[in-house]
Amino acid sequence: MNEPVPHAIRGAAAGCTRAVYVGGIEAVAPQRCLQLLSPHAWPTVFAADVAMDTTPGANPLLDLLAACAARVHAAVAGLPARLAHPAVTPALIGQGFGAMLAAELACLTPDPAAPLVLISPLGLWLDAHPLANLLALGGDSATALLWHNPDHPAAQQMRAQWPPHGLNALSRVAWPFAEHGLRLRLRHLQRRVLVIAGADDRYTPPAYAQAFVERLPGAALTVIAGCGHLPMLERPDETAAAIDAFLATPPSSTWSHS
Amino acid sequence: MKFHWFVEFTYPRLPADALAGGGMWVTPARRHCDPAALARLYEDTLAGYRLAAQLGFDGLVVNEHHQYAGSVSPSPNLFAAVLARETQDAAIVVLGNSLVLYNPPTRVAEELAVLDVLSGGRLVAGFVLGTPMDACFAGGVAPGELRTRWNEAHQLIRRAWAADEPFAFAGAYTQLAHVNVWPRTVQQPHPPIWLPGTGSKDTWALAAQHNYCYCYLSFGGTQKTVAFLDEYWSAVRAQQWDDNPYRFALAQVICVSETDEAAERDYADAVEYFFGTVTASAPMFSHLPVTDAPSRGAATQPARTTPAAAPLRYADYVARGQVIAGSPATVTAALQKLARQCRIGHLICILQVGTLSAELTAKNARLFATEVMPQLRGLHADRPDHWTPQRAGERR
Repeated sequence: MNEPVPHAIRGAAAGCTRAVYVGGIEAVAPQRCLQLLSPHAWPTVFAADVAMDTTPGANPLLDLLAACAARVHAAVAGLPARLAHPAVTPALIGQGFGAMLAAELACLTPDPAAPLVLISPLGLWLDAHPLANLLALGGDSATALLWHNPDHPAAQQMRAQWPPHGLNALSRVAWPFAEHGLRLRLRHLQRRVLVIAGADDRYTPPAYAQAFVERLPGAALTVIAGCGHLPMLERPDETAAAIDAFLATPPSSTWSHS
Repeated sequence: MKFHWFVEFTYPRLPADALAGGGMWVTPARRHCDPAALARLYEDTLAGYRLAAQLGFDGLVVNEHHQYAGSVSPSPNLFAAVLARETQDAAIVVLGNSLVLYNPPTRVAEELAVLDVLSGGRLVAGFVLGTPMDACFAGGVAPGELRTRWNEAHQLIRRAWAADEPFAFAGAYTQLAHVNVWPRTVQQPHPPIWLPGTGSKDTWALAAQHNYCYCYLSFGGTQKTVAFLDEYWSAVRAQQWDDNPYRFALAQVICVSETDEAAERDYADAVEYFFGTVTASAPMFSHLPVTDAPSRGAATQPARTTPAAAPLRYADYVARGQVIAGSPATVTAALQKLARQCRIGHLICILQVGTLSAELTAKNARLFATEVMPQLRGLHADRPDHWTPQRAGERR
């Protein structure tokens, strides 16, 4: 029922696919990275934004996922008609908390041909690599944790604007850690998956990306050197290149770890 | 005016390396805890409560903290149970149970009902949201759920106390097919309820809404108290309640000695340690995402103490009103002024100041009870106190 995704989003102008960027708490779209992938305006959804639009309830993760799915649907529906191919499941490119949500949504909507890119994904817990409680940190500590180079201009901007909005609402699924049993659901995830990690990510070290790959047969892993938790901001060119190469590969290809 | 004895179960002085990070809150490694030292602390502190009851204090206040060396009292109900049996007259003021940390919250309804029975109807029930360090950092409750969880638990407990037949409860966080709390409280329809807070408008609005006594547990000093009280009484008036002083309780550190100079000699060390270390806010807990309101970054929970550029000394704490200290005459005058100015019905007296020795605690208690308390006892005598158990003090 689903048509294979022809190739990279870069070819979106030729009418290939639909894609949504699902961000985490950063609330600023990684413009350079996304523009490298497609000249078109990207539909974006941010976890913290969506959380602020949900009411505290019994199942905060389910509430957040339902709201996120609605946002993704609305974002795709708003694409120009030439890009809105109703038969194609939208590609999801998620980062951090957004990657956790993208993975959860993908578990609920299997489509072996649809691409899923998980950048520094949250959602698992490894005893050997305990996660920091990011929501409890101040700007200096958070920036030092998230960036390989805290002096990067975007890092300084993040420090100046910390805390990002929506943390109180997001805490309902992210306090003290964003772990809600995704490890048990990943076996239902049927997508083409690329996992991207920053080699110097002090928040979610590459072991987390590796753990996702180990639970997702056929998933690819790209580790970007000199990079922290936010590859699309800290290493936009390398990140876009990895995604572009992944999307350009036919769905039937077997991905190997790089 | 009513007087209540309140103690933080402060662990005897910790080495400096134990305080790195979160100060006394949440993070001091347990390797620093000597059970024998804690046993002595508990023994001395319980003796202090017994002495307070003998000296005529109206209530004995216990509270709840977690992973906090400043008050090693993770379950105030345990101490309340001891005091219920060791005393006969004073109210047992549990101030309070942190509702969000009990699952199901009917546990609170049960235990407090047991305490009310055990004490012969002397219980004051306190429902506390808990400090962020207790509820969020030690307890793991999401900041974004604190209020909604507390509201639901509060509703469940009140319904459980009111119902003489089983009922079903379908909340967001608690679902129970049979709510049927035993025992029935002695005080009907329920024990008096006090709501402690540290200055959050949301909390005193709740107290006003439900006709509870609001207890200001900040240690920020009289200047801060006076500044915010108008807003509290406005919230009370907005609910069409009267201005009965017994709607308001204030926790206050008090140090009495023979003279003002003697008070400094006796209590300066303990006061400085209490405010400088025991109750001081730690920076690592200051970034809690308490709200997503537009005024981003503005704290809705005031710090327990106002940060100062340099370490404050005893004289500074006295000047700021964080401690009312001196001779009986000095203390009496200051408390008279404060009680009238702030319309304080219940004075929650902190006379065992942090790590103050048992001997000085007893001296402080005796001087306060014999020299100060009688001078203030008549304040607000014309107003009915609906927030103290009727059976408390009956035998006096």
